[in-house]
Amino acid sequence: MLRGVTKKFRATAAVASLNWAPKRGQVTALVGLNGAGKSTAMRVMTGLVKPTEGSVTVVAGPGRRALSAMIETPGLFTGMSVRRNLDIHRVLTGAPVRETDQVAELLQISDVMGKRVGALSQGYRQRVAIAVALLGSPAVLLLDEPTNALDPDAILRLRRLIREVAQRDTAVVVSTHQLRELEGTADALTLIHAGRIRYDGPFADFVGAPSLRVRALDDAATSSLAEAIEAEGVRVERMAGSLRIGAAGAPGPAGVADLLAALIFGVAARNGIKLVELGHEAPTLEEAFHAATSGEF
Amino acid sequence: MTTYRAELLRSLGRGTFWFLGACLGLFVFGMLHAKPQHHMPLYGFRQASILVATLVMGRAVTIAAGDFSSGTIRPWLISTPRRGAVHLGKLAASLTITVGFCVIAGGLGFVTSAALGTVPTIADISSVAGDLLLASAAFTVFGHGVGVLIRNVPVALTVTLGWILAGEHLLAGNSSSPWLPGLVAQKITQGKVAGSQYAGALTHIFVPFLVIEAAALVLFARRDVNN
Repeated sequence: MLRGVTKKFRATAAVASLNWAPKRGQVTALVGLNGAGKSTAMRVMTGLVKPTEGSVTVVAGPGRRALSAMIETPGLFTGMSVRRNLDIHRVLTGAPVRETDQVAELLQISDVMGKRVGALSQGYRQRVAIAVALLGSPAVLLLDEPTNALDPDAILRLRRLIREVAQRDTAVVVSTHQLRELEGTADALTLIHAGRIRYDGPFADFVGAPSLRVRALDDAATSSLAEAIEAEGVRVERMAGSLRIGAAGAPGPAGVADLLAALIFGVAARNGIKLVELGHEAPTLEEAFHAATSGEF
Repeated sequence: MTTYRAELLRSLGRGTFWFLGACLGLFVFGMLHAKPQHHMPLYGFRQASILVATLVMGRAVTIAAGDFSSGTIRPWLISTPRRGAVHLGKLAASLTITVGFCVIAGGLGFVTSAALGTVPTIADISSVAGDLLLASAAFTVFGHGVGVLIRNVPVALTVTLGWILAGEHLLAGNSSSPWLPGLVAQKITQGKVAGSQYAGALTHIFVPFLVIEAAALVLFARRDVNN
């Protein structure tokens, strides 16, 4: 969808040479540090910001709008009722009349349809904004920090909703700072750092293979084991009395850890070294994120 | 067309009706207090017309610039990537409201005048309402254009009201300065432009305002929307 997109603000490139296409039927988490270029990438996709170079294309199916987005503050008419806001946006998107009530029911805002948006709590406003974004069955749905101001119950419902929307052949992109929020919801993850995509792949693989902690019978045996493993071309980190093998947070299939474990068992057996500990040390999402954004990737 | 329909739906809110009510109140006030020597309630209507047209301009400015400061322009642009269509749809909706408002004002002028004892002819009421419409439409175009260009309600209001209420008068000094659009619009609403002079007067009003509107359209199509 984004092809070679660069956006410069004066001489500074907010995003550079982005090639990115969130997949239909998937929830993609768009993550990055503040100022990394997430919002700019989203704004370019929506057409609010024109790319300096490159192009954006969105192909929608029949009867669907191409793209919808809820970016930053909800762009709602605060002096008007919720129903009126939904009706205006329904007309704007060319959605059928019945969709107003459908999205209201989906977001559980039917009870406030007659109320002025300005009189609603932040959480309700957020829900109204998401309802607006769902009108017209968009092929691509961009949500920027959608859980802001939502209570835990509403967050749970939103996660379910996001999954449901994705299942309707929609590419759902959720930009967030809260990595854990999308664990179990997002299928894919795209990490933008300094205006460039640093990772774009399955969510599960982002955390990568866990490192392995290994300890032999005593320090001398542990040291011998380290040398033997290094001789196989595997990097070993020497800790106090134990070894750490494999870079935590490096992206890659989780099965890599099992292969490493098999290799360690083999090396130990060949060298007659008795292992007393071999365990996984799984990196957290935050550690993986830190590794990716601090140049350790 | 969808942007026009959506904007029209948005405009038909309570705020617009309160605005309409306030403007109609001004007309009634003007007609009730028409100077005795003129004896025509429609004179009061004409006296109030330029003030009401200025208020209509303020409404156009507030809506156009407010869309940017409140972020309500975003759904429009995301739904309709063709910015020209969004711009023209919104302008057309504003002008539709202005036309509807002038028709209602004309009807009220007729009824009020009749109630005050002077039943105006259709030609008279058409003339005052038509003049109001010309001034209001021109000011709507001006207000919309400046609102889109400046994107900030207080600044855009200061610029437009400052120009119409003070700038032109300062530039004109004591001369009649028929080339200043706001003053020409005032002459029209006061009935001081004869039939043969209309073409020239309208050119003086609409050409500069349409140039501003065209500049707004071009910049709107090119500029990023960051808020």
